[in-house]
Amino acid sequence: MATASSFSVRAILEQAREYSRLEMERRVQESELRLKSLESALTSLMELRDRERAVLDMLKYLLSPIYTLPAELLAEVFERAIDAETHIMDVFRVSQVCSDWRQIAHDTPRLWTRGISVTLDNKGDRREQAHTDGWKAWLARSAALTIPIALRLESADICHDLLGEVLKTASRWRYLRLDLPDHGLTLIRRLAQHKLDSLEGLDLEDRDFIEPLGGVIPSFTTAPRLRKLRMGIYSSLPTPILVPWSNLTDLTLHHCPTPDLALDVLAPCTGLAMIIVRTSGWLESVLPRSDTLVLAHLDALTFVLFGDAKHFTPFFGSLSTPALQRVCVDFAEMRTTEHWTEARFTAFQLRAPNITWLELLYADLTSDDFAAAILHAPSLTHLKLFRCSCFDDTAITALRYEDGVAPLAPRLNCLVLEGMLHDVSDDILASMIASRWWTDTAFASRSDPPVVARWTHVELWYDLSEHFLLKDIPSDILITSTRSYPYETVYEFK
Amino acid sequence: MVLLVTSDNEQFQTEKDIVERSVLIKNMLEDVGESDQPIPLPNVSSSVLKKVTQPSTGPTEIDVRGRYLSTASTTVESPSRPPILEQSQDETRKRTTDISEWDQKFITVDQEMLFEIILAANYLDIKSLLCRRWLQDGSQHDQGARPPEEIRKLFNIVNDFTPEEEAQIKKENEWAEDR
Repeated sequence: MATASSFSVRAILEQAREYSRLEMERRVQESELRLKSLESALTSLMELRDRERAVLDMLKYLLSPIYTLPAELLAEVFERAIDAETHIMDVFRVSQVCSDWRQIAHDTPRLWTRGISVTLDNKGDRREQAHTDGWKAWLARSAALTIPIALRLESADICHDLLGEVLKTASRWRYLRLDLPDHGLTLIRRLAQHKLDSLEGLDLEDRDFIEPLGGVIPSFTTAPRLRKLRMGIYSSLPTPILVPWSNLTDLTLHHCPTPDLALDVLAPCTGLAMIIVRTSGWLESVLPRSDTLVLAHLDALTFVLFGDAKHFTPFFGSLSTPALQRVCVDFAEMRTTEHWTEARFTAFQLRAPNITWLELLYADLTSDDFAAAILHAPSLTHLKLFRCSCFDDTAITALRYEDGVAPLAPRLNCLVLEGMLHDVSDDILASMIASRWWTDTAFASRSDPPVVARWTHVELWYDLSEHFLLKDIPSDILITSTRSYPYETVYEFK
Repeated sequence: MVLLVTSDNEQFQTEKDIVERSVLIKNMLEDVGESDQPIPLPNVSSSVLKKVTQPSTGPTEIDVRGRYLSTASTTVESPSRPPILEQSQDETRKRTTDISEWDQKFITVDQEMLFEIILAANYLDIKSLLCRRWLQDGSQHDQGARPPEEIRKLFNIVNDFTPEEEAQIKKENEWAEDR
């Protein structure tokens, strides 16, 4: 057989010119057979080569360092590679690398327990079965572990197969968020009938559920672990659901039409540690209720006012919260100026002597109101004011520490002042801040130590960094800036 | 200072706050109390221990190319936001703001050493070394896991799925995109 190097088409051509036609046809057949045989051999060789390559790769993999990692360690690494936002894609990706990794991922239920959002609407096409099968397989992977789940529905047309699969896991729901249309009470009623043994949090968002008269109120009172609830209250009718109120520790009420209604809902919630109430105030001045509501375990209270009603302090006048530490009052959504009744807020503070964090947002109180609020918060360590009219030179001076004078807020060490509405004097502000700061050396040399705390954090939306009174305060303690922040960050202390 | 003895019998005097990043060693120290006795680490070689106890200002992670990553995380507690009922898996009101930056003076180790470090970190129980960036692109945060083919290439892993498994994977991916 001619090799590639000795092969000459011209030589073969010269030789073939001598052949008879019959001889040529015979040689053509022979050549075609030879070619077929060669191609077959080549295919076999290529298969052998690919097989050998796979064996080599496999051997290399078995020798590779990653193969030495024990399965439980790989599972730990997988878990760390999964982000909350992309967890479904992430866990699929690691489980689709090789059969070993797939097995490990499938044998590690905790990888499949991040929050999921299931859309229950019937898509009405051939994808429906695949959709249901996909969720069924996903939910099965978390085995017996609890899961946070959100159920979404936009129309009245539910995919019942999918709902059936989802409901099979109801006893494993740790958090349940329901994003349902206004007529969603029927579905809520159906969900509430299931054993919700693991349910710790229920989020009804801020929907206004429309209930036909005489409808049965969905009851979650058999959810023994339920502690957290978020719901909207839109009318003076009873709440759209029943829960084990006295077991709740965290409650968020949206759109409460009146503070009275909020107080009615709060009344049976004697175990609350955190409340967020978004409500309008009263249109007219009212007296606090005669029956004070005692929330003995309440640690954090956020009160957000909206709308036109401007009287709100009777809400506080009706509360007794001896363990309360953190208070935020936010007037940002009011369309009018609130009526701050100092005496009633003071009465509330006297029944809440342990407040350490106070945030006031868009509060329209006088510097006297402010001074009274600070005076009655003797444990205060953190103060944040955002766009509050009270913060003027008088208020700043009230916070200034002087030796021998009983100070306001002696434990205050964190101060955030943002978006002041009045002009304040740089010197007065700097002087107040400097009065509550000293270096370690200065402290050691004092015969009578100051009776106020030293700043741990001061944040101002003013550039006072060059002020001579503040030059000793380190830049990680005193942060001055003229930049603006997105609204979302307004709530947070550093 | 704490005296550590590695599998190859080298002794290391190491600062207590560094070695206490290891839950194993921390527990041992708590058990024995103040003592000059050396702590044997039979599963850790000296070369690996040097890497694992690399001093840093914060928790140290190590990425897939063996680069050390210094991180400093701050946890901001928000008293007034209502995310209690959100689906976050940590189920706390804490928001963690990762402000880490790649340490420019990274140390490069080969993959074999990298995995020895990981095994040692596992033995010593130093979770921060089990870096999530392993399977992610280390240059950015929060972008999820690398695609399977990239992971295979990176670690010399063979795709050994059967055609049936490949079909199942295809279905999984279609569902994930369409759900």
